[in-house]
Amino acid sequence: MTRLLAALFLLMFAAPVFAVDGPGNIRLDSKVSSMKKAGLGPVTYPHKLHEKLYKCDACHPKIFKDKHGDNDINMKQNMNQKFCGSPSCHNSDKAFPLYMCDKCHEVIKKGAAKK
Amino acid sequence: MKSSRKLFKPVLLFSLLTLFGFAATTVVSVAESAAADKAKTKEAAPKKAEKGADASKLDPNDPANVIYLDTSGKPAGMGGDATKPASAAYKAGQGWHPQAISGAGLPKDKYGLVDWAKLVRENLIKPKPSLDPDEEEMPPLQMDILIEAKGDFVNDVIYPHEMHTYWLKCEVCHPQIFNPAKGTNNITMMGIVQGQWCGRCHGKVAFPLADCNKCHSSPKKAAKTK
Repeated sequence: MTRLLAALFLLMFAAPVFAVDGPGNIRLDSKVSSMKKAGLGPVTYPHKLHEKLYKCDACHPKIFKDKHGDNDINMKQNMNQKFCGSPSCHNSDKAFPLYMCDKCHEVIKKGAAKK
Repeated sequence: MKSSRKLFKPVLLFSLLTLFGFAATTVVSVAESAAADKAKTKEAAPKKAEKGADASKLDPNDPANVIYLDTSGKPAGMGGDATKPASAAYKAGQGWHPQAISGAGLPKDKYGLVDWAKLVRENLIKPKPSLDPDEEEMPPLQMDILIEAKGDFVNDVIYPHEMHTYWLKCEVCHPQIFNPAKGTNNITMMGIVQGQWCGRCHGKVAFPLADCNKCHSSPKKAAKTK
């Protein structure tokens, strides 16, 4: 009986492992050199904010692959209705539009880099 | 020490129960707050519906009541729909009165905005160039300008003078908005969104910026990308 109780006790600490806790803020900076040319900094993607609005399968895996680094996102793809610019997301009336740069990108002050 | 061994079972049981109790209360409180949110939005929706019903003793289809309606055809001043996030593009696209749009039968693009370029190309409308009947109309200037996008990936912009000079004379933009010399205007997308450059008109009196590829139409040369 005691052993059973002890086993249960240990199991209580094992339980949190199964809780699904998405990633926190994801930094999207693989294209930072291109972003800088446009006068913008990298993007900090707030996963938790989107978790509150949608279930996992709304985006995974049909829009974004689950693994970090597996999605080659650039602004042109967004504009072509891929990734963030999917037709039911930031390219629709459900969310703010893609031309509001500073909602996602950090802004580099002192204007854009000269070409 | 025998007594402590005897205590072992009850202590274990007690701690198990406490942990379980914590877990249970967290689950309950999460469920409660989720239910509370649901209840709140459910409450808000019928209230808004009630309000709307009261105010539309005003018949939106009666042409005499146009003056009381806002640009989305609802009685003005009644508040928006708090359960839906309204994007700026959506709101901007709702900028014309729905009755006028549907009455005129203007062609729409895929965002539901009026497709002015199509109107011009297909000569669907014949606006007078001037209030003065004797004034001669200047023909549109046919000159496409390539504006390169600063980033590596986004398509370049082809600016069509012809489409703009159909509507506007030179002095509207030159020189106070755009310096008529190549390479002298440091145009940025952020600036456009804030109302400079193209944003002086687009998003205000001209179609909004919702369709990116409408302007960003010329792909970068393959050598530059990747």
